[in-house]
Amino acid sequence: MSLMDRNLRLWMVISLAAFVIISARLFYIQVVRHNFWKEKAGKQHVVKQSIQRKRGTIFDRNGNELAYTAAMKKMFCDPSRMKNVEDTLELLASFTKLQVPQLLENIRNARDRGRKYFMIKSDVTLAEYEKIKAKLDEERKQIKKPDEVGLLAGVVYFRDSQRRFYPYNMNAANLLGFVGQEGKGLEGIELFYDDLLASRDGLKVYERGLTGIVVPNSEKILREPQGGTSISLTIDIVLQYLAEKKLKEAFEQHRPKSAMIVIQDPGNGDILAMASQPSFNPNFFSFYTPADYKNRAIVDQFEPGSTLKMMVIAAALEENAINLEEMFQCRGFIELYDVFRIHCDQRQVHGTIDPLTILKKSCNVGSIFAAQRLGSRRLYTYLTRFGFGEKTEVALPGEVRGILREPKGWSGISIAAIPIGQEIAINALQMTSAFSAIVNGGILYRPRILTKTRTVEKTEHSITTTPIRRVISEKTAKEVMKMLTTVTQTGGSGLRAAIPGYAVAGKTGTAQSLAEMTKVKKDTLEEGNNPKVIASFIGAIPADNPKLVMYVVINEPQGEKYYGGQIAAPIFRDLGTEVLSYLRISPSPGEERITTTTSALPVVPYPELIQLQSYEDAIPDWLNLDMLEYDLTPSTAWESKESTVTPGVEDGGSVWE
Amino acid sequence: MRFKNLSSRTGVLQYPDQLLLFAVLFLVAFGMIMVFSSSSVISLHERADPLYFFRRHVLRVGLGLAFMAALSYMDYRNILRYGPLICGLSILLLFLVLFPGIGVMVQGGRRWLDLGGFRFQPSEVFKLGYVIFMANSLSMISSYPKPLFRLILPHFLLLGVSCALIVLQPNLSTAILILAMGLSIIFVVYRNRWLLSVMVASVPLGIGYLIWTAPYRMRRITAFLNPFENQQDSGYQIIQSFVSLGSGGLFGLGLGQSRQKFFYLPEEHTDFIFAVLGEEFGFIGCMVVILSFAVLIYRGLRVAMLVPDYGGKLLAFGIVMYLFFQIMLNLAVVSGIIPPTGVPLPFVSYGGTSLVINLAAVGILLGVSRHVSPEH
Repeated sequence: MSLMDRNLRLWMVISLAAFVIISARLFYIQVVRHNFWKEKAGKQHVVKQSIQRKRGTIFDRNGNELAYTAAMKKMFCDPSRMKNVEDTLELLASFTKLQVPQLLENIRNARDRGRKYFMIKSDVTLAEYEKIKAKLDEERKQIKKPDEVGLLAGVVYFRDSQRRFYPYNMNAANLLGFVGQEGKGLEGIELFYDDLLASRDGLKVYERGLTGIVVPNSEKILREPQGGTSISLTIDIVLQYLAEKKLKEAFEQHRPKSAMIVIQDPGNGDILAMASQPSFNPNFFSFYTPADYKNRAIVDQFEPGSTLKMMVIAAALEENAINLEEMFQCRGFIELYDVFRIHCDQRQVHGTIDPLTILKKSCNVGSIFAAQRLGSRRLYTYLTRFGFGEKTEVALPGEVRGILREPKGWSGISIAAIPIGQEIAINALQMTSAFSAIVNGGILYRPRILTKTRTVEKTEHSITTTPIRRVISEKTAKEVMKMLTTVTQTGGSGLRAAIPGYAVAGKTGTAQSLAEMTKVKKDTLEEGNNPKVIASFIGAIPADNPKLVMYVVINEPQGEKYYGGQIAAPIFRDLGTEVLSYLRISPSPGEERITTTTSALPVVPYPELIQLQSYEDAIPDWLNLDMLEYDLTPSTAWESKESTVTPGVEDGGSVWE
Repeated sequence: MRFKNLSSRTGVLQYPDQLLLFAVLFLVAFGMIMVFSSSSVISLHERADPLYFFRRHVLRVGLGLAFMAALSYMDYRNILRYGPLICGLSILLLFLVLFPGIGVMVQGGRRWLDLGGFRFQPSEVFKLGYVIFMANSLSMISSYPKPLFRLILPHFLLLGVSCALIVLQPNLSTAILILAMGLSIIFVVYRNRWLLSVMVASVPLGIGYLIWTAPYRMRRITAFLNPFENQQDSGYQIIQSFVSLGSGGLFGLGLGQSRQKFFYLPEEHTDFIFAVLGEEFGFIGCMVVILSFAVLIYRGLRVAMLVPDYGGKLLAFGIVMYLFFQIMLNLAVVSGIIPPTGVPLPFVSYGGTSLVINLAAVGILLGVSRHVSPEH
């Protein structure tokens, strides 16, 4: 073998060795260190992105948004990287409202403790966010080194958040309830329909190129977003607003313990408005007490008083226990066992009266006669059939059953107390529904609050009205309605509820405690020391073609006036006037002459309400201003909590569906 | 001399080395697949046509294969005869390319000549021309029993001048390639320990000088040594290459599934095509390619050993070295053994002049192999 061939053979060995070295190197990178580099590749390519889904919107019957969720941003900073806390805050404060002095102190404290994150504000609106982001990006461009920071760049960062808004503020607050920090419905509709409304974000991953382009077919949905169904209520926000307004006025005027108004459509049981006082603003629910949250129309039970008489008379007529032409003698009181004496209101003596007059004058004695004729068994049965003593099954949380004892549990005076609305406890919605049954010709409806649901996928589901049972015949119902129409006429107890131009069928109620009722002969009505009563008025308008049933309840009013006819009836009248005008219901036939101005009534424009509807513009203002009026902002309250958010996590943020 | 009138004795030309041919054709085919896969993203985004680079590649492959076929039928002794002419012309071109107005500047280097729309790198042509010239020149010297400095010295001089010209472009990687190639050819003829020692000792001095004259080379080396601390610089390229290869694992992500070609890898269809290959076909795919290269080199050296003619031996050996150093330089860069430098992977990478010249070189090698007698 020549020298050259030996050299060539050497080169064979050299080249083989070189290929072996390269192969070993590749084996080390590709096989031994595979997991390491795979992880590196994943960090570089894979982007996790949450698919956000908002909680469902709550609409009123006309499609107005009563509660909706808006996308916002939580703004954090890294105190340990801040060069100048004050300058940063001043800069941020020029974009969004901040409590600079307090934040300054808190951030400095956080920095001293070596904190890496601090939540500056939990609800930065998207418009504000865009501005801050633009400034931040501008700063970032000027930064040369990777570890250099600007006032915002490298210091301030954002996370997605959501916030529930109630654009009508206090209107329908007790009905709607509110949502807690964790996005869970805590009260009212928000609680009852939490299963439908609540949403859960989805999650997807995709891979991206260096320039941010999405690698084709790399997107994978790890978890579909869920929930977020929107619901529509039977509520008409304008009616609700009118009721709230009147109720608030009455609450301030009479300073009662509580007050409530229910407006219902007697034809199908739809709840058109449901207002309670005291109330609260669900946008800032944490500044109120639980008592303010109560939806009193269903969670409070009380003695109805005289409004119950119409159910007693209706039952007695239905059972032919009394007849229309029959005459009763009212001596002003009725004695039971020679011990108890139950008087008519204001010690009136009604003399010889017919059933119509019993209701018109709200005669206790006459009502008790009718009940005695009916007997305890039948009285109990009818009251039960009217829905008392059992839940209306309205789709709202916390409804009370009320108290209606069975006859075997009755005392000797129960047969006299119950027909005048004592010894029985009801909730306002029970009374409204029972009255609606008389108004609509005898059928009791289950009160409806929800009209339809609509999923994110646009599947709609309507909730139908449910008639429960026929309580009384149409004939009886008509008779009772005729009687109730006289209540608001001359000589009736509810004269103050009369609405010019419209026939009103209704009944006053003034419930006293039984002890007050049976106080022996002595004049209990001392000046300025009114007894504890529940003043109420329930009525249907217009009586000839009832569109609405409204129930006004004032619990323990203070002041000289306390009768239902004195307090509740005027509220009913004022509210009724506005409601009829809003609904453009024409005056009752035969009564047009009385008020020629009625037809010329303008449609009430409700500027306050309409202003609230432009919430898009209103949010930033009232959000910031109102929040700052309180010492404790939720954002600072949350700061102490350990957050899982860390800066610099590779994360694709989120997308809205 | 036994081999002097060999061809006249047998007078019969054999088939070219089939294993060598098969290895090259396989690499070219695999290369076309990889060029298609790796260039699709950049083609789509820069040219709005996913096949832009692939089409151009196919044209060059066609041209290269034509050269290969034609040269494999030429008598290599005629080619050797043209050695001085080819080498002299390409040295002239190396001069010309340095002048502004003649040489075209691309990415900071004046390496290209533009002949009415047809662009090529004179250094690529020179590489092959130099091999031919050396084979011719040294085969004449080899007839003397002892090494003669008088004749060796001009070869070093030629090597030094041509490398210097290429460094001036600047194109350090090509200069290193030619240096390695030239030295290996010289020393395969003259294995002089003393001279070899001087050469090896001068390597650090040469590298030191080059770094001293161009500080960016130092940065490349430090980035190479600590890639994670220099992610913004050249270290980025090495890490991205590792990510590609490493995430491919044993079996790879599958054809077309590379994530790194989405602009993470630099030069993904040229210098770093092997990283994409490793990502899509895994360690197995890499081994198949390396095995093909090994077959190519082995069969090439075998041709050099078996061909009876001294000139043919040196020509075959020179071409094998020419291919070997390109392959090794590219694979060493991609696998992070040496700092990044721009050398395409022969037959696989997208490349213009380089691909055509490489295939032409293989054509010459195949032509030499036809003179290997069948009994071997």
